[in-house]
Amino acid sequence: MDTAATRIPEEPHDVSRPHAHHVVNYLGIFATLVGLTVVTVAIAFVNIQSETAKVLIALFIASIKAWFVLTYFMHLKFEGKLIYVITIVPCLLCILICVALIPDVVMTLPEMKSSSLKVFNDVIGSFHHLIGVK
Amino acid sequence: MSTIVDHGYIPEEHAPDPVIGHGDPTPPGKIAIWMFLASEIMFFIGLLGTYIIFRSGQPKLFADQHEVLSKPLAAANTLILIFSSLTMALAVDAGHKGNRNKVVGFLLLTFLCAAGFMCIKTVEYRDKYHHYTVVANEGGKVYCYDGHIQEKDEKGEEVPDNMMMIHGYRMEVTGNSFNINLISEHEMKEMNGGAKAEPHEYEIPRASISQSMWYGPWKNNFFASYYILTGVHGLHIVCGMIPIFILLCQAGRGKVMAPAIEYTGLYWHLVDLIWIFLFPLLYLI
Repeated sequence: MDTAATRIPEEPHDVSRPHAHHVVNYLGIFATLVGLTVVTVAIAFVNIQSETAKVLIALFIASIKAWFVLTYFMHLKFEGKLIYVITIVPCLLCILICVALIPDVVMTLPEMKSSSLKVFNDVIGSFHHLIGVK
Repeated sequence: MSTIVDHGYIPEEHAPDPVIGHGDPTPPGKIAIWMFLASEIMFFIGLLGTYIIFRSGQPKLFADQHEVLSKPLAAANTLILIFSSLTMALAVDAGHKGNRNKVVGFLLLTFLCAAGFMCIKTVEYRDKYHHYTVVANEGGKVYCYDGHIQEKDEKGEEVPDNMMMIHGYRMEVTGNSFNINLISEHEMKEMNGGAKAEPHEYEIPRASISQSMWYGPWKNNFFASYYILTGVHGLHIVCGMIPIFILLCQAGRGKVMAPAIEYTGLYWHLVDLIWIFLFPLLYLI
C-alpha cells in the first residue's frame, strides 16, 4: 500500500486532471431530468390524435434528456476533441440508419402504399420500355 | 487505514499521451470505454431499427398492445435509473477527490437502484407470464378470453385441474378474420364497454380450449420488440452491477480506483440514456 502511495504523488498532478475541477451541479441536472420525465408522462395522457406528432414530441423530449446526460453526467462538455469524434460518428450512423429506413416506413403507410407502388411500377415500366422488354 | 487513490496514469510531464501525443491528456482507458460505448449505441440502434419497421407496418397493433404495459411501474423505473445515474456521477466525483466514504455510499446506492430496477422488471415480466389469451368452444359458440390466470377463485378455493380461471374480459368470436396473436386487452375492454369495463372471473373447461398463449415474445411483433429491447437492456443493467459491486468492495477495503469508477460510470450513464429512449417508445406512445 505504501509503495503505491509513493509511486503516484497525490497533489501535484491532481491539478492537471481534466475532471476534478469542473464543478457540475449534479442535483440540478437530476431535477431537470426528473422534470422532463414528468412532462413525457403527462404528454402521454394528453389525447393527441396524430401518431407522428406523438412520436416526434416523445423523441424530442428524450433527446433533450439524452443531451443532458451526455453533456453533464458523462462529462462530454469537458472532454477533448477525440472523445467528441468517437461519440459523433455512431450518432451520425444512427441518423443514417433512420434515414435509410424511410422508404420502408413510407411504403407501409396506407395512403402512400398505392401511390408509391404506382410510381415504382411506372419507373420499372419505363425502364422495361427503354430496354425493349414487354 | 489510509485511502489509496489510483489515478491510473503517469503524470503528463513524465509520459506523453500515447494515443495522440502532446496537448490532449485523454487516458487510453477512457478512449477505449468510449469506443465500446460507440459500439453499444450501434447495437441498440440496430434493434430500434427493427422496432421502427415493425411499428410502421402495424401502427394499430402497437397502439393497442402497449396499453397492457404498466405505465406507473415503467415511470418508477425511469426515476430509479435517473437517480442511480446521479449517484454514479457523484461517486465518480468523490472518486476523483479521493473521498472513500462518499465513494462507498454512492456506489452502494447505485447498486441498490440497479437491483430495484431489476426487481420492478421482474414484476412486469411476471405479470405478462400470467396474462393469457384463450380461445374456447362452448355450446357451439367460440369465445375469446383475455386476462390473468388465477389459481384460486373468489371464495379462495383452488381451481380444479380440468378448469382454467381467467380474470379479465370475454368476447364472442365471429367471422374468419380472428387472430389470437393480434388480440389485445385494450381491444377486449373496448368490446366490453370501454375504459370503465370491469374485469370478471371466467371458469373455462380445459377440454374446450382450442388456442391458448401467454403474453410472450411470440404473441406478436410488439411483444417481440418489447422483450428483446427491455431484455437486452436488463442484461446491460445486470452486467453493470458486476463492476459496480467489485468497485464497491475495493473501495470498502480502502482502495479507490478513480479511473475504473469513471469508466463504469460512463457505461452506467449510457444504460440510463438507452432507457430514456425505450421508456416513451415502448410504454407511452
